[in-house]
Amino acid sequence: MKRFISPCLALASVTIVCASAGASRPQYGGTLRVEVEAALRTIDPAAPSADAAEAAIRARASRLAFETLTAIDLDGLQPLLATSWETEGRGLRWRFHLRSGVRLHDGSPLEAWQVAASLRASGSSWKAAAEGDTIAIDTDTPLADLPWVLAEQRHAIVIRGSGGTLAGTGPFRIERLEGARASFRAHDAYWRARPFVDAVQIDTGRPVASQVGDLEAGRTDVVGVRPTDAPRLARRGLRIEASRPLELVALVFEPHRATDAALTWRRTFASAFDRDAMCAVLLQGYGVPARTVMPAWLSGYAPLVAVADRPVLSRSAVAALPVDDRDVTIRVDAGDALSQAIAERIAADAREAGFSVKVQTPVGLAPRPDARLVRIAFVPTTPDRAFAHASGLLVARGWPAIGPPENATLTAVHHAEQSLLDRLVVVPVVHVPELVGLGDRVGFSTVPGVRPVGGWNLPDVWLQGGKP
Amino acid sequence: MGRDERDARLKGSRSFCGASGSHFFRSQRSARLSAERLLKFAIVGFRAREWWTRFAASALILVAAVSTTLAQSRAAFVDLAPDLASKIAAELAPATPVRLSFPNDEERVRAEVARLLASRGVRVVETGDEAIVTGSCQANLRERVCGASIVSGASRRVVMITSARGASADTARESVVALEMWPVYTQRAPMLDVAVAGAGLLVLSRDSVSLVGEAAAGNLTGRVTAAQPIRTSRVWPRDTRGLLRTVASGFEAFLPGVICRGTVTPFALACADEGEPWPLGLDNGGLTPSRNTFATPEGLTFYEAAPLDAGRWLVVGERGVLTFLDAQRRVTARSESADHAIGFPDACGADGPYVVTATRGSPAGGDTLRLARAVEGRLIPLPSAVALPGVLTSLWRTSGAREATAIVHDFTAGRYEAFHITLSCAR
Repeated sequence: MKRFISPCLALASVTIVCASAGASRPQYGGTLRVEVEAALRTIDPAAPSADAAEAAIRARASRLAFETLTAIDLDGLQPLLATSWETEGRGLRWRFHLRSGVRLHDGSPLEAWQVAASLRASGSSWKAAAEGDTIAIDTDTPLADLPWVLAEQRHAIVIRGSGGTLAGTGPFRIERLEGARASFRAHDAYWRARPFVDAVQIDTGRPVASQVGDLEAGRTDVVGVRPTDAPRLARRGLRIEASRPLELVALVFEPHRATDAALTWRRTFASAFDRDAMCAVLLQGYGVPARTVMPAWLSGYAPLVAVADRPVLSRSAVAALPVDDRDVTIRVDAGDALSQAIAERIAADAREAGFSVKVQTPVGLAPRPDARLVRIAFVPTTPDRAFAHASGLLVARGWPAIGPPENATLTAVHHAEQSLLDRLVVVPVVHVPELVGLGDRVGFSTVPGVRPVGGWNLPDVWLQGGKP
Repeated sequence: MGRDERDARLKGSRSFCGASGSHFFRSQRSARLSAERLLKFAIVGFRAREWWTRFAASALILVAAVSTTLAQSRAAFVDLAPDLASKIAAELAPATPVRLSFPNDEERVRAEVARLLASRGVRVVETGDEAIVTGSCQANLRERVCGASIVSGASRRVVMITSARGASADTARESVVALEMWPVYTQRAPMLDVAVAGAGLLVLSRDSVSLVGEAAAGNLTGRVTAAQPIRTSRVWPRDTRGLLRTVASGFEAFLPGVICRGTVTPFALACADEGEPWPLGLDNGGLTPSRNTFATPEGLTFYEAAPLDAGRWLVVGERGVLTFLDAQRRVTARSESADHAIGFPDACGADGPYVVTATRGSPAGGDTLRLARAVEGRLIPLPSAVALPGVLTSLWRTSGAREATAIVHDFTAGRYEAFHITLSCAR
């Protein structure tokens, strides 16, 4: 028996060694399965959308197939389909030099006139024209940040064929969009090298809770994850990858609580919760205590923002408030589990301090709340554009206009943010990143599956069990 | 490397919960740079020949590599200091004393701003209720930003300087400095110092100078081809110190109260009982045999001297207190204590001066070499450290070269090992 066991053990050892050795080398092939919550009606990046969630997922999916002239990563603005650019007339005229050797999904070379036509169709007021291998863009007003604007996915280069077909230069080509599933195939002639996987399949309209369950059951490979799901996935040994903090969760007081007379009350209530504990315990470390609107990596000035000193909060101080001021209602979107969890944590802390707090998640009519917990997603771009976008989201929800126009100086953006925070109508709570859960089949790569500035990086994801 | 990168990445991805978002940024960068370190030190390990020494050296260096994370100062922002100082000065009344603070990892920017403010007549003080200037430097996606809030009484103003990211920022990127160390020779008998002489290696011990053939080619246990006794009537101290130096005519050996001069070809040595100054760079009257210390002409007692920039020095003083001297050898500051210190004033361009100090680890363990940068009378520790395989008995900077020699007594293995130490600089 011993003689039998020993060779078996030896064989098993060799098998394990071989398997582990093979597991460290990326493999080609397989279909990567992705689940997302929002619906996806089209992959055309220039198509209008009234639904922010759908627009966000479309930008992400369309990045698989369509590329922009420029791109944004942690090192700032980078060349993509354009290798360089220059301006004349202080931003009134721009010239973008196109990368050579780029092939469309049908194998034909990308031509400058196609790029110009795509830019004209993306709905902008500028005039784009091909000049040899260069794209010239004329604008009516100076656009100092045009290369940053062109990094937005809505300005991706899309070749529209007859019958509504869409072709691009990205790492995957669109195979079909049917019902709740979008299918992509690897673009073998991709100029930055073929992706590892053969295909990507995106199933849309999957609730986040179902996504996590599917990931645990091995029915999918890539899902969106909430910080509160992290312990559950960690117990299963599944990986989570995170972007930089890209979203602000903030307490925004309603107009009747936003008056100057209520400033002291707002300051007292804003001091009643512990951001650090919330970040460490509730968010499992996947969150940064927020004391500014914009995360530091987007603004560059966060340490210079003055934050009001927290008053010494005691039960007697809260007890001294009029009874009506001690009753606080926080409203949270009914479908937003993360905000609900954060609101409950704020409520628990505030109750400790002597407030009486209710968290309201109405689906119909409900009593007027004192504050809402809102989530504001940031666009990774210049500070003025990021702040303008964030303030636009607030304005769209009914709060007064804030913030400087785009192209403002950094000092002006800082001043606008400081003014906003000084009023204590918007109280930052935490900054949270975009989290992606990766399934068992996804092999380890030194390049993350989620980009630091947000969005997937699926060309670098590979599947174990694919072709060696 | 893959596993280290993976560990570092996993660590980075879980490092969100901190005082600011920049914490995560640093963790990710640290992970990248740790991995870069591994490559560098893997190369270093192959300079030795014997497998066990090679292995030990690699292991030692791996310790340094893994611990090398980027907490180094943000030299990339120093170029913004002049404009920032101008803006700060413009906000202050003449001769206003200010308290200036920056985050710890922006010490170089703080020092530069302080220097520039002083040159504009602004008095920078450590304590007091004067104007409080709090500075910070960070980058957003478009630009590098240095700013300061100036609080004076009830008023608060913010000034900011920006510079576009790009090529200039890349060239200004902070250097990554790390200790690099490789073994050059080992023997069972005690040795005081070694020096490369042509293709051979000179080895100084208490009673002789030996010439080891082929040692310079990396043969750690090269054969002793010749030896000359040190003839002296002196009785050596129990913890004898010795220094070897090659000169145009041959070599010199400095021992307590004894100077030996010799030639390699033919191998000869002549010693004399002389209390000459030792070639430390810092003026001294030679080693005091009964105390094992040096003294400056002003009478300051020290064990070792590390050159800094602009004629300044850091010396290991009495009871091991690290003492900063200006170009006139006046004490300007005192810092923590260490057993040994050497300086690299001109290594890694303008980012220095760098200092390597050695401190005793646990009684059973070996000593540790630590890298620091000397700034304004303080040592700013850098995360590069090397755990030695035993007790450091000697640490001398090689004259005219950007390296130093360390002699380590490995009690466990029962041998003395000589190492060469340099700083590696990368951007």
